[in-house]
Order: sequence, then C-alpha cells, then structure tokens
Amino acid sequence: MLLLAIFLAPIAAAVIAVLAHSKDADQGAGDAAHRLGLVLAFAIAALATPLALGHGGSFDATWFAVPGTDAVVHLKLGTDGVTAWMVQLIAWLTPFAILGGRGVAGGRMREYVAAIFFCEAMMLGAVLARDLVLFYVCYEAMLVPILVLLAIFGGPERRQAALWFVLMTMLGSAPLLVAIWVIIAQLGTTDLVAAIAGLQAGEISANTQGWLFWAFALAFAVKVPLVPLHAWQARTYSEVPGGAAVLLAGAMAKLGVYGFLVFVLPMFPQKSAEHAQLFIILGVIGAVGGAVVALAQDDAKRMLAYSSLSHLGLVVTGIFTFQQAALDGAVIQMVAHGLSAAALFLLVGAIEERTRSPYLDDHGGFASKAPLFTILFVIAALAAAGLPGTANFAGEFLLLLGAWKSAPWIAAVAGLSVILGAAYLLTLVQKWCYGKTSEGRAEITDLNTREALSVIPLLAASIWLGFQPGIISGYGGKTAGQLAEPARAAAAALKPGPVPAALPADSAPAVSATVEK
Amino acid sequence: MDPVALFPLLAPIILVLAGGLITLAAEPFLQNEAKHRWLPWISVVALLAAAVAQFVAPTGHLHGMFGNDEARRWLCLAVIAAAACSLGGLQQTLDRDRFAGGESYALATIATAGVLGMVMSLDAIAFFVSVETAALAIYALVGLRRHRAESNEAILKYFVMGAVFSGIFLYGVALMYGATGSTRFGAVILPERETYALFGAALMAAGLLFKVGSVPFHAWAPDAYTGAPVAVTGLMGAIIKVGGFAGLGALWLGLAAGDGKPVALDAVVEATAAGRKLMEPLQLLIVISAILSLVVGNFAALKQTSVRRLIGFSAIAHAGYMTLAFVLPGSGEAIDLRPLWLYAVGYALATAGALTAVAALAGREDAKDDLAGLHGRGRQAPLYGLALTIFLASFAGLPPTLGFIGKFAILAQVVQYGGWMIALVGLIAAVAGAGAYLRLAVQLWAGTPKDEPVVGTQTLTRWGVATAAVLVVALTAWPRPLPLTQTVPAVQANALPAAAPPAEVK
Repeated sequence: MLLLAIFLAPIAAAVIAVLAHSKDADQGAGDAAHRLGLVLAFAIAALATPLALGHGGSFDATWFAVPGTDAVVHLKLGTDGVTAWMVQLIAWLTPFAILGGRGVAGGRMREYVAAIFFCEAMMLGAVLARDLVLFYVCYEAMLVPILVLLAIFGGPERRQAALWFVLMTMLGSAPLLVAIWVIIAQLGTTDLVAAIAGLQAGEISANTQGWLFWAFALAFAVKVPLVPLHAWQARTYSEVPGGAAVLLAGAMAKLGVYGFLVFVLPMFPQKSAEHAQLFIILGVIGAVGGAVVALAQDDAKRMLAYSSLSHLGLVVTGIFTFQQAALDGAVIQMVAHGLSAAALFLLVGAIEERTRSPYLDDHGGFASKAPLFTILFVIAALAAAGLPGTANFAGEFLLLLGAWKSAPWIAAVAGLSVILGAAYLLTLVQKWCYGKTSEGRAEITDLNTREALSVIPLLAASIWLGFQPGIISGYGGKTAGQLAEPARAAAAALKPGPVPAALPADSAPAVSATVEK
Repeated sequence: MDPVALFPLLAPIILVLAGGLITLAAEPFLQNEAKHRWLPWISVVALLAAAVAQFVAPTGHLHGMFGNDEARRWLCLAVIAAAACSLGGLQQTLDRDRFAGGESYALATIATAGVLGMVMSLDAIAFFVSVETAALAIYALVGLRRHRAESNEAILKYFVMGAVFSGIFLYGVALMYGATGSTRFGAVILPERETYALFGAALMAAGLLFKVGSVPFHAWAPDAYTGAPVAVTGLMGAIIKVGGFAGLGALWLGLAAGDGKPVALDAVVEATAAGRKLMEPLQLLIVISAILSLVVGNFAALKQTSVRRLIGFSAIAHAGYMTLAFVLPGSGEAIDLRPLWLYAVGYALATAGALTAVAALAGREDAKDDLAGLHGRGRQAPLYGLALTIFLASFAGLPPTLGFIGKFAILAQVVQYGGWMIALVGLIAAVAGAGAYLRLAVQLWAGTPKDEPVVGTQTLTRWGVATAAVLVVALTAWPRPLPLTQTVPAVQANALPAAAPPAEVK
C-alpha cells in the first residue's frame, strides 16, 4: 500500500493544485500555489524515504483485461534497490523543481505546480511499475506535462524543441509498444516477472527475442539519450525553464538507464551480452563526444545538456560491462548526476531569469557582483566534474574501475570524458565568475534566499553521499548486480577467456530480485 | 405485443426523439435570445433521461429489429454524452453568432436518436431508416451558415455523396436479401447464393465505410468538416462514426455467425467455414482501406492549419485505426470486436469534447478556428485549454487517456493475429498524427493573445467539456466499469435473447 500511496500522492497533489485556485493569475495567487506545492512535495518525498531503507512491500491489483487477448493488465508495483533510489531521486528533486520555477512561473504557478506533480507521478509510476503496460503508460504519459511546461514557460525556440522531444521519444517507444504486444500475444502476460520467466524458458524464439531486445533498447536509448539518438536533448534542455530542467535532466533522463538495468538486462541477458560491445562503444562515444561538443558550446544550457549526454553515456558503458563495481558506480552516478545537474540547471536558470541570456560570452565577473552565486556555482561545477568528496566522484570512479576490469581500453578512452568534463565546466566558471565584466548589461543581483535554498540542500546531499556512497551502493548496487547477473553469465559463456570473478553466492538471480517483497 | 413491454429496450431512442420533438414544438413560442438559453436544456434533459434509461435498459432484442447488449449500451452512452457535449457547443455558437431560430437543437437531438437507432439495429432496414434519420438532420446542420460559400460546398458534397452511398448500401441490402431471404444482419445464406451474398456484403461495407470516412470513400470528410460550424463538426464526427462502425460490426459478426440469430456486438464468435469464405475477400478490402486511411489521414493532418480540417483528416486516420479491428484471426480463433467498441467510446468523447472546446474559443462565426487564431487561448481559458490538451493527447494515443487504451487494444489484437508490421505502420503514422496535434497544443499555450474571444452562454459548454475530459482520463485510470475490458469465455453465444415479455429479461 505504501507504494500505491507514493504513486497516487502526486496525482492527488496535482488535482489539489488545480482545484485550489483563485480567479486572478496574480503574484499572490502564485505565491499561494508555490507554498502549497512545496508543502505537498516535501510530504511526498518524506513518504517515499522509507523505500531507501528497504521498506515498501508490493502492490498488485487487476487493472483491465486486454480485449481479444489472454492478457490481464495489472496495477502492479514493486521496489528494489535501484527502484528505491530512483524514487528518492524523483521525489526529492520535485520540491526543488517547484522552488526553481517560482521566478519563471509568476502568476501561473498553479499550472506549473500541477504539471510538475503530474510529471512526478508518472515518473514514480514508471520506476515502481512491475507490469509492462503500466510501465509504458507512465513512460509515455510523462511527455504531456513536459510539453505543457515547454509550451507555457519555454524559451523562444520551444515549438521546435517540443516537436523534436515528442516525436523522437514517440518514435523511440513505438517499437517498444509493438514489443509489448508481441509479448502479450506469445506469452499472454504483461507481468514483468512472468515475462522474464517466459523469455528465459525460451517460449519466444531466439530470432523474435532479438527483435524485442532492439525494440526495448531503442526506447531507452532515446530517453538516455545514447548517440546517435540525442538530437532532441540539447534543443529541449535549452528551452525548458530551469525548474523543469531539474526534473528533465535530473530524473527523467535516468529512466532510460533504469530501463536498461531493470528491463533490458534481465529480460534479454543473452542478447545484452551479445551486443554489449556495441553499447559500450556507443556509451563511450557519447561520453567523450558529448564532452567535446560541450566544450564548444557558447550557451550554458546547451553545455549542460551535452554534459548530461557525456555523463550518462559513461553510465551506460558501465552497465554493459556487467562488472559489479561499474554497476555500483552506475547507481551512485544516477543519483549523483541527478543532484549536480539539478543544481547547475537551477543556477543557470537563475542567471537566465535575470538577464534573459544563457550565453557564456554575455556575462562575467559574478565573483564580485554575486558572491553567493559564485560559491554555489563553483561547488556545483566541481561536483559535476567529479571532484573527490562528492558523490559524482564515487560514481565515476567505480564506473571507470569496472570498465578497467572489463577491458582497460574502455576505461582509458572513457576517462577522457572526465578530464574534458573538468575542462568545460571550469571554462564556464571561469567566464561567468571570474571573466571580464561585460559592458552594457544590467547589474546582476545575487541569489535571493529562495534561490539559494533551492540549491544548497542539493549540494549538501551530493557531498554527504560523496562521503557515504555505501548508502546507495549497499542496496542499489546489490540489486543492480542481481539484475545484471544473467547477462554477466551469458557474457562469460560467450567469451572463451578467463571467467570473471563470480558474485557472492548469496546473490539471487534477477527473477527473484524483481519480485523482492 | 404489449407496447409497455417494448418500452425498456427502446426507451433511450424514444426519450431522445421525444426530447427533439418537444424542442421543435417549443421553438416558436420563445423569443430569439430565450431560444438559445432554454432550448438546448430541454434537449440535454432528454439526453440525460435517455442515458439513465440506457444504463438500466435490459439486454435482448425486439423482433430482431433492435437489440441491446453491453457493447451497445456503452456505445449508446458515449453517443449520448458526445451529443450532450456538442449541444453545449452548438448553444455557445448560435448564441454568440445571434443566430435567428432554434431548430438546430431539435435537429441535433433527432440526429442523436437516429444514431442510437443505428447502434441498436439488428436489421438492415431498421439500420437504414436510422441512418437516414441521422443523416438528414446532420445535412441541415452542416449547411447552417447558408451565407457562406464553404458551407454550401460542404452540404452539397456531403448530401450528394451521401445519397449515392445510401443507394450503394441499399443495393447491397437488396442483394443480401436475394441471397438470404431476410434483411437481418447475420441471416443464413441460402445454398448457391454465396456470390450474391459476397457482393451484397461488399456494397453494404462500402456504404458504411463512406459513413465512417475511410479512404478511398473519404473525399467528403475534410470539406464537410470544414464547412460546418465547429460544434456541428464535433457532433457529426463523434456520433455518425460510432453508428457507422456499429453497423459494420453487426454486418461482420453476422457474416461470421451466419445463423440468422440477432447479433450481439460484444459477442466473441468463431467464424463458420462459409462465413470465412465471404469474410476473407472482404477483409482485404477493409484492411487496405484501413492502412490507406492511417497514412493519408495522419500525414495530411500534418499540413493543416484550420482545426476543423485537421480534425477532418484526423477523423480519417481514426477511421483507419478502427477498421483495423476487422483484421481476421487465424481459422479456429474467435472474432472479437470489443477493442473497436473501446476505441469508439473514447473517440466519441474526445471528438465531441475537443470541438466543443474549440467552438468556445473560436470567436464569432468560428473565424478563429485556425492555428493562428487559437494562439495562446489556453492561457485565457484554462479549462478549455486543459481539456483540449487532454483530448488532443487522446487523439495522439498518449496515455493516460482512452485514446491510448483504444489504440492499445486494437493494435494488440492485430499483433495477436500476426500483423505486427501493420501495427508498426499504424504506430509510426500515429507519430506523424501526434505531430499535428502537438502543433495545435503548443499553439494553444504559447504567448498571450491580444484580444478576448467573443463567447456566448457558457454553463452547458463548460460542464460538457469538463465532463468529457474527466471521463476520458478517469475511464482510463479505472476502465473496469467498461465491460469491454473484462475477460470473457473464449467463445460465447452471439445471439441476444428476446427482450419481451419483461419477466424473461435476462
């Protein structure tokens, strides 16, 4: 029941936000909606916290029968280590997304808060879902609130951005839906555990399984995004308001990675192992290429978008090495990158609100004019660059360690992305905080209390988790290891060379990991 | 037979028809402004009464002419809801335009009664009478703006082509009568008359595909949709399509069963060998038409700027998805049209809701129903904007809306029958369609318009649009009230029991 409450609470919050309206869209009404949204968002986050400690149980109810087939779709929710930490990330980023939207949304805060809550609900639904159709519903439905946010509060190029975002995501997930139908037709079930069991038992021919693997992988590769499916990302990230980018870059992008971990690896271990090389290479191209392109950007939001591409490329690389260290690192990095990207987008958003310009060359000298901004911005940039002491360091280190264990060349090439990451982030810091004060620009005011409070907790969390990464890897990494175990075994069987060290004997196979009650 | 015993089953049609006639009779006694204030309410009250009557109506059939089952019940309820919503839009439109005369409400209500008849028909003659009842009223409504050239073009095209296809349908009925000696859907085909039956069924199907606006019988749709007032476009798009598909479904299930018993639309029947021999060539016609509709409708919608034209092409695309429900399963597997009915319910609600909302935003004479005219209207009127966004998401097949459940169910079945390539084509076409809806949705929320739209009286419109939007989402979150999403035994009896006398009602 706790899981159902976590899934439904944001929906209820969205409805409350819509209904608790006042006629006029003025500043006062916006403030009221803002306060209400914050209280509800923190309450939901508190409600979700027990999951990280391994609580939660599961929930299962019949949703509807698909007419004309044997399948009955269930509202089935479950949790495990990876899910629990995704839930933490989503639920705890939401209040900061609301805080960060106050400046942009003005009197339209009610619409903003409602869209954010609806988006939160769908993301939580997607990570908690243990039914393929329920997952797909939530996975697609989160497009709608993002679109509304983009259309109401987006930048000048929003139409272009919305088109790229929706069309690419929908084209990516169209084959996923066909794959779900094939599973319904051949296995007669939409349940994740039953589907994994059916696929494992070979009830679907290996040839069809190959197609299904690509359908699932495509949908998640668009969401991450993996090169060459990243065209929507920079366009969208640079047009959404800073607050919404918190959810988009901080949480939604991780759903692609989550999909690889929770769906692709356990469902298609054989195919994952066969194609692991390809995904490792795509991930490395994304990691290094994204960093190089980020270095060339003159727009801070686009730079952050390519930085996301780079960091998540590294995560996908790590996952497809199937190494325990890399899997631990992947889960840590999902949370860590969520925190640092959210903080950076909020800070850049604050500057954009003041000056309407996210360009690198337009600003300079913030160190003297806006010292608080500068301090927080430097910490956030260093966190994103993976400075030791932040959670990003732990994540990247473990990812590269796992990659090294798998094949040293992967770590050697992917390691470049970390160096380049430091380069572009420090360029940004150097230009904005220490560069020459630009002429003719309005005086920049420092962050106000709301803005500062929307960033400080994120950075504090990043540093805390940097010293205590075991909190995440102990539960999340263990689950990730279990989910990847069949793929790892398949990869070991493919390779004639020395068998990689096996996991501890007590780790159960993926099937039981996903049912964890 | 005791006339009282007939009443429960026919009550919805009778109540709606009575509501229409009372509206018509009351019209001359009211002043022009009062007409627009009160007449729609008479019709809506009648529709609500009909909805209650349909909700409690028994399942069964009357002399093999009209019947009721769980699928028909929900189709009727969807038609009634769509009509009530559209009446709000019509009131809004006519009040705003200071239209003289209130017969339109009566016409819309009578058209609704006709469509209810189409849905409940078990017999081609009963069906044809219902079609004409609905169509004549709709023709008049399409040509409501007599002074506008595109209105005249619309009504002429629609009327002439409608008359031709009525003739084609009737010719099919005549051939079918020759083949079976009966006008009932699903009559037993006499020995050595299979060829007549095949041609009869093909002509009837062509007539019905015209009604639902499927390619290549679609040429009228965009023009008729554009010439009509927005609110009428919503009414006709929503309800005529439901009626047409109910007829096609009855024809199809009748061919499959071929035992002369009244056809239940929610039946799961295994086709007889003789039935399959007729259905296989027909399936080819229908599936080709479906795929063409998907592609033409979705891709042409991309280029449109007028919302009515956009919805016109979108209607063609949706007709394509719905016709995909007629893909035949392998021999030995049962035919199940319930995904189609699920889709139809969602489509009727979303179409009526969307165009009613557009009618409320489009200003005098619906002059601002194009993309530029709707710029930023969602900000001015958040209720209509939000509802319209929900309906557009439903058209695009995005969850959590009925449009998703419908597409999911129909294409899941297509894949089940081995047509995963067709499903993929359908989905990719859907992405193109989504692009068209997206343009409109973004336009709706972008920027701030300079002027306030001229609006008429609002209450009915607001309630209608809000109810439709809530239903589209709520029935997705909890679709189990729709009996169309419950498991049934693999094959169930397709025949309806006789409805009278009431003591025997199931």
